Amino acid sequence: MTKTYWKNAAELLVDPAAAPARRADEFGSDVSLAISELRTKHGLTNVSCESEGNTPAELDRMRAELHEALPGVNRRGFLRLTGAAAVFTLAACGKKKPDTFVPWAEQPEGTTIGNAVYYSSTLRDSGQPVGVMVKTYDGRPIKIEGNPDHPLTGGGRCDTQTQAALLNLYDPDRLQDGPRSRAGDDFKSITWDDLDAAVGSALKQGTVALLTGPLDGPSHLALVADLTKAFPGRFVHAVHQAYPRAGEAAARTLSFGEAGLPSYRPESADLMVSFGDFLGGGTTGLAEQIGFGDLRRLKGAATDATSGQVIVFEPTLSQTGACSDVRVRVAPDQLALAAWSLAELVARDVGATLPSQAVKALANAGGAAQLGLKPIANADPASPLEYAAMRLVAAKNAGRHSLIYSGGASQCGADSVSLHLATAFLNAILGNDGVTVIASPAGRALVDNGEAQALIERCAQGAVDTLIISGANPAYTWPASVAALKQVKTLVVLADRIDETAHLAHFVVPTLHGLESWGDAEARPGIYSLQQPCIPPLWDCRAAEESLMAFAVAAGADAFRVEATKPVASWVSVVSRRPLWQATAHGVRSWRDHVRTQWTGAVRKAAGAVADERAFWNAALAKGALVVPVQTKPANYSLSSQAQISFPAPASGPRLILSASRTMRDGAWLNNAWLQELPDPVSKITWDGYLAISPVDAHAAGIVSDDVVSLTVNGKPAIDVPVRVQEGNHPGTMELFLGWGRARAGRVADLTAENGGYRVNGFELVDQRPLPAALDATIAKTGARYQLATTQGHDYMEGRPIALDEVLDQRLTAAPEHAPWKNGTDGEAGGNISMWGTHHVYPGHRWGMTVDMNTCIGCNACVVACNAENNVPVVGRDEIRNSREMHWIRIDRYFTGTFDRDARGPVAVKAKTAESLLDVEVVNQPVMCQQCENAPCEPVCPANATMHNDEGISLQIYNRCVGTRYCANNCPYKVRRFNWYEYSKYRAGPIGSGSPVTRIVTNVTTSGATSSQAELAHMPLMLMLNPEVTVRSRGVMEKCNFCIQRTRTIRDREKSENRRIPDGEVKTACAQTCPTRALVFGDLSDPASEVVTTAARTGTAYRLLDKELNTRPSVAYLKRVRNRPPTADEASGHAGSPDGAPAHQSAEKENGG
Amino acid sequence: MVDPINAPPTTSPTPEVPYVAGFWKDPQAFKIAASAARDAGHTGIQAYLPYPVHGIEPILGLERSFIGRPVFAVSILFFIIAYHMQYHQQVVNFPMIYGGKPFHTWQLFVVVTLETGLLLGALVNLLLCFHTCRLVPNPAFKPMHPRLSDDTFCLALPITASSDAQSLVAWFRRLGSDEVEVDERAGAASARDEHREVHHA
Amino acid sequence: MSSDTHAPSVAPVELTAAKITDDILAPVFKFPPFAWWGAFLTAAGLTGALFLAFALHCVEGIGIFGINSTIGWGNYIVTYVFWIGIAVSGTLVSSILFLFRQRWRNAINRSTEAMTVFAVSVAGLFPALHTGRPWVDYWLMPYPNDLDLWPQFKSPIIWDVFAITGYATTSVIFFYLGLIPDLATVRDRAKHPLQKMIYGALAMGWKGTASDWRHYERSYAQFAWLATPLVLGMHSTIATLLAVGQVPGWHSTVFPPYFVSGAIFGGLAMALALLIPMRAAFQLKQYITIDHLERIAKIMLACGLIVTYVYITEFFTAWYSESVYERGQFLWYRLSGPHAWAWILMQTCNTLIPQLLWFRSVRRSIGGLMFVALAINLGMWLERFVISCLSLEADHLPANWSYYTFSGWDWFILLGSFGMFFTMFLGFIRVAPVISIAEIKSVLLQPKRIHASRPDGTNTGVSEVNRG
Repeated sequence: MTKTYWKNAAELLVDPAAAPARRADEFGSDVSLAISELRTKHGLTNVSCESEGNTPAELDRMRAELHEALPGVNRRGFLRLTGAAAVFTLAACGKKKPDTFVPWAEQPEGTTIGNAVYYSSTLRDSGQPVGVMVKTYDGRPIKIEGNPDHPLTGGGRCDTQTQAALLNLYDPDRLQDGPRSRAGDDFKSITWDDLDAAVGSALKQGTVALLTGPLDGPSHLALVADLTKAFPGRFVHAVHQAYPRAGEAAARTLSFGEAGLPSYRPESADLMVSFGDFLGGGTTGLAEQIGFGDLRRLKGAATDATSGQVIVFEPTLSQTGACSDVRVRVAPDQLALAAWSLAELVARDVGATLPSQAVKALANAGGAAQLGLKPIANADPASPLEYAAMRLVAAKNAGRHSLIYSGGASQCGADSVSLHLATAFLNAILGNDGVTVIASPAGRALVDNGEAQALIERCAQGAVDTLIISGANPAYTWPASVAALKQVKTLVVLADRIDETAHLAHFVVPTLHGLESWGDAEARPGIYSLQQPCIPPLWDCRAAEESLMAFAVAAGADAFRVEATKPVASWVSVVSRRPLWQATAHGVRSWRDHVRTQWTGAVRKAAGAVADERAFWNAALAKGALVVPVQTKPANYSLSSQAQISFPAPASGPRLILSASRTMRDGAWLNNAWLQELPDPVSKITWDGYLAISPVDAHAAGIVSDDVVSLTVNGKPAIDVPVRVQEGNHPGTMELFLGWGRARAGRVADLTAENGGYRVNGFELVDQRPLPAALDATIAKTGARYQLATTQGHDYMEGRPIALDEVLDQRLTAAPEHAPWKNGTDGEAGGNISMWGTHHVYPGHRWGMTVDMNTCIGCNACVVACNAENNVPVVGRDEIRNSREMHWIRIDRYFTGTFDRDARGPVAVKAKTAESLLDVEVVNQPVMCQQCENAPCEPVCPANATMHNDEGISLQIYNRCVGTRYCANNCPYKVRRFNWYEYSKYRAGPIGSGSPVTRIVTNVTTSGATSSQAELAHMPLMLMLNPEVTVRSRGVMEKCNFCIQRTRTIRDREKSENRRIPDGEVKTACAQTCPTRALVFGDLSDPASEVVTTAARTGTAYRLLDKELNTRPSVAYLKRVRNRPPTADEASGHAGSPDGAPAHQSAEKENGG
Repeated sequence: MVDPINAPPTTSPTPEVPYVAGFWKDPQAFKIAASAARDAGHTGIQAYLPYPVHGIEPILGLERSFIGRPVFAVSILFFIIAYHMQYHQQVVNFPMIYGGKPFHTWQLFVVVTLETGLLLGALVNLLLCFHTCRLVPNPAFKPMHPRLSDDTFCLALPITASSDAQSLVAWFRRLGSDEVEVDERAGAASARDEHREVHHA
Repeated sequence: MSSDTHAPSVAPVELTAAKITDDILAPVFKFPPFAWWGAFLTAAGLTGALFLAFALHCVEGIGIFGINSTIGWGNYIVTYVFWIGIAVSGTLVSSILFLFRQRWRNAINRSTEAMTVFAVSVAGLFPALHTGRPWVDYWLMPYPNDLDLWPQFKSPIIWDVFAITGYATTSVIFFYLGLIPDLATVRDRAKHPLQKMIYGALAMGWKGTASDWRHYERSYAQFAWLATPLVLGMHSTIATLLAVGQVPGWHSTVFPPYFVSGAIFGGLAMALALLIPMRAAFQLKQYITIDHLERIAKIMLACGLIVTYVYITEFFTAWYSESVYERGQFLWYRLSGPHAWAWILMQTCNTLIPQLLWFRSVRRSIGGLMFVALAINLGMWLERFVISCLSLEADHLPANWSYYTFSGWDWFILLGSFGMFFTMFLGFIRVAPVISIAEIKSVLLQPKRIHASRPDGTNTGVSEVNRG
């Protein structure tokens, strides 16, 4: 008889029915019969002999039985037996499941070992869909980048949080082993079948409610519609968001008579006036950041460059305020008054009629005079409102467009409608509708329109029998809802961990990460993006949508029922050794099938695609995005008579604003150590939420940064919170950041909170949803101190020419310093005196970068990109406190302005200084290794561990490094990072951190090894590492090397393709991802490359510290250009002086610097 | 005839040939004796001092030590070797760019050159000192006289045909020795019972 | 006081060679007093703490210390430079004063040489252990290897490696060479056979023939000639190690003389702090007289003035350069930054307190000298702290500024370094003569200048043979 050898398990199991026969063919009949009998007897799976719970003794017995069962042992039989024994022995190696090694005897199609595979997909950052391109190695996603084919990623750019989602995929704190049901105060594991049966029976009668996050994909909308039909008359769906755009939506309806939410296109505007935080407010996303960068960028040639202007009215210094040209402080309650006052002025000038409600309200409030806005220096007109109106009207008269924006976490609620009405009115009379403001058709997306509040009220009354929550965490973002959730008879929570809401549930259903599951989104009207899995499910979880369908099927609904098939053992399930839950095997329609049906059906129809279904589907999967032209006719503005415009009375006491954390958003990211360790773009604080207070208030109350205060909001228990005295905050205004202080986010969040931290959950301070714009609150010093971990040692430049800025109108009067990267000899422009006569030449490529401080919004996307690309470890809060952050790129944020010289930080500011700190300006300066030609770090290394290559990159050779750290001392930019501990093993910093003594004693006494190693054994985080980059060990120096693994591929490709790779095909991770294109990477030896032309075009390029130290960096900075009237100092000619010292810095020179 | 004084010294605690030794506590008396011995035409005079006595070398006819020149030569040699080592590494073997500096930077090679030359000079100096003084670890060392390293000076004259032990003892006595000792190897020749005769001054 | 440069102390009439030997060897042969045991065990305990910290550093990582990305060099390097400075002064006494024919040095050169050797032993540990991976430090030595990979000779750290290696080696052999005749004395005095054997081995069969003395003294003098450029070069190299850096506060051409004079300044202060208790405890006052101490104090004052001058120069240069970075470091950060207390304390100890030495009464008062010496020791440690840490704390980009604080283990290192030094020094007192017996006899028992003449009266023409 001919023996058929099956090559792998998948081949064997293609036809499960035939598998026994094939297996019989594989081995001799006698042996395999004996083995299979034993397998049957002991209930082993047909794939693996390993089984949980077998003790070594049992396995020994099995071996003995096997031995007896054999009819006789010949040579081949002996070998087979030995092999089988080896398998059993492996299975006996303790409880831990052994790793499975699968030979690449047959490569999956399209896979080449060692080459990355990219998948286009879609992820969500706080509900905002982002088209992504996921880089996978050997089936593991290792990096998330923007999808270049997606229309909203600006050619492959990505935002901070979406990139960090990679870490959430591998988060060991996710639920790993199936669903849970409640058992007393705790949970017990149940099987999927039991879960479906239990939930299905609960769903058979009574009211059924579904609470989700925002949904906009066609498949999701169809699913909700199907569910509604499946439970006729007793199904409710509501959307809950931490920061819903309810106020905006309401204003839109009142102003235009149609529902929907606008989206914004600042790239089409010349001028932007923002009331609130456009960039980091929690209600906008990547597309808005990209557009903002285009607005800010200096356009045109050096001689007549122009730049969009950003005027911001805001109470506290925000990311947008930091990037603005003109920043106007307004009390939080007076934003609406300011907006309508501006509307009044603009309406006057463009001949529009101010709505009568506004006229009345303005009259009642006393008009703009009540605002007490600080005049703009040297401006004509000096009043900020008059100035803004003048600019807006000028733009309109010139046929250009502007953008008026209001929003942010604190502008969500009903009390902000007046403000949103004003921006709607302004955009309408300035002709921005349809150009910079795009309205979404009603019903496109399911967002938080207040149904959640109603639903929770019904729950509280006990009127909801079964509540399913998916993709929302109301117990955290809305603590007041907890009591109501407890009234629900059956609470089913679909979550990836037992979070605050899941903790209340009767059933917890583990869900997949976005990178593991299917889905889709309609990011903006007509812009569809498709989500596909890039890795098989890591653990025993199933897609939330599939769970919903399975519940419906179990409840008897027919909509999702399919004919049950036999389970297909894919090679994935074989390899992962997990009995993957298969929808079709349970008679449930698979979620993939649902998505595919929607796309090949409705979406294909909408796109008018002629291709057949299969081709359309494959093309959609490959591109990840689909644009269907949608005709959006601008609606006609007509303010409803029901619109109420009112302005709150000026606050008498201190007011508290609740803002979205710029890194944590709504708190969903709190267990993400990358984001925990990211410095806040404005305060540069990591790992903690805090209360930002105005310098004037701090001075009056005798509070300094790092003091812990007791914060009392009316009717709520006081909470202790550390304080940061924040430059630029309006007096009488406090800002607390939401998204922190979760109780059940996971171990990263727990460890940092337990280690002397404060769990500051601002959501607890107010029951009302959406959040009000401002609250009455008081603070009192507790006397305690708490060191907030900041990555920036000092916030002021002290008169040093570091992050240079200049005024747009003034910059043309001074000649540009010199062309960057041109090394003149002594006496020439750009020539520095050197004792070394020669310069080395770069025969081929010479890599360089420009950093445009004008467009940098400080969002840290570059930092996360670098973390992922270069396996940069997380070090933890204690290490950040001791200035040991490991980020290879950082964004220095300096406050500039005409403040007093003795303002060296917010510690014990003087009264006069406090006043002057209110109107600071900000420069964001990304600093990575400057790849100096004359690198000070290189000659001091005794071990040849750092040197220059012939492509201009300063190399760091980790395995040569002894760790003397002189290179770091000698680096004037301090971009070198040292592995003080074995950081690569840490997840949230040194475990059990605190004093080293405590840590060491704990480690030694508990495990004999470091506990971080012990933890590592159970962590999948190492799967995330980029295999192209060495993981650095303790005691060695590391630093940015312009992603040398990327630039080296160019050399290889040039060899194999025999051509010079054109500019732009290789980019560093930071430059590739930067949403505002502030970082441009390229070849300096190519005069036509973008990096060279960018630096030359604007004439604002300079190299950091080059004049002082002759380091000759390969990085050129483009000055921050402020599009505002020059101040008196700047007007007097100091600005843009050849020595690079702007006026306000020259003024400080007298004080010694 | 080879001048025994300048002959290579030995590791033996006592002179190589049979001798008669006179001991003095007073360095001045010792010096006078040494002069006298030299003037009397004794050859092979061996002098032992607990501490250096000024002016003894010319009296005993000792030349200036030769070990300066080799040390100087070795230092110069290692200046060259050390410089070459650096040149080879930085220019020939690993011509790497460090901070944009030229490969050959003599300014940066000075320190290692100097330090290496001086160190090797010092080591050779030590070895030469050990060699010339015949210094080797000697745990079983028995001094010729227990106070020879304390406060006693010694002048040892070889017993020759022209000056036998008897006459040397007498001669030492005349020069005021505190003690006189006759080498036991001279026993047969001197036919004295006691191998050591102590004469108190 | 005597203006004679050769023999400040007049030897008491009754002094004989045997008595000198007895006096100086007394601590070696007598059972040590309780106080010695107390001091020795304390010091040994601190040494244990030092090595405990080292061990944890190797196990956990250098992160257990307070240094960070901004301040890459902290306590390890500060303490290293401190001890190297101490070492320098010992070589000054043993070599430089030797070359200048300062015969009064003979009373103190043994103890200062011992101080040198022990200080350099302590100091030598630190640069080796301050690295992130101390187990691969040997990569910094030029050794033949199959990769043909040598150290990077442009690096000032390599200069430092060579300088320390050369200097430490030379110091040890110089010290040992000087000990050989005295070890022979101990050998001949020893009663216990084990003692006889050990000292016999260590004394290398020293016989003390006139010929041996001739070569020996020549060799000794040559060591002085070699050690002098080595020590000056060594400490200049350490100064250059910092000075080639571009850190404001390091980058200064005045560093080599500054460091050398500072090292002598601090090292002599340490010598005083050691000699004063030692001469009292072991009844050596007639050998190490107040005149000796006063001379040390005078050199200290001179070096202190040089150091003060450099302090002024640094500030002037910073101001005159108009560089915002230099001015920021000196005119602002050191004077009024958060670590200004260190600078102020350092100035008090190094600039103000040494001025007391202008007064003869202070110079000749044991208490006064001790006070000044301890103050200078503190001041010199702080000086290195200010130079290394304060400069790094506030360098070019303010965003990187940081503040250096000791961790608990840093204290182990700092105090442990003193423990290790004193362990060795106290041990040395017990096992070897603390004053060079042969040399002190040579000085005390002979007229200061001998015109050697033959009995017939003809002059040999040699006016001064013994250079000791």
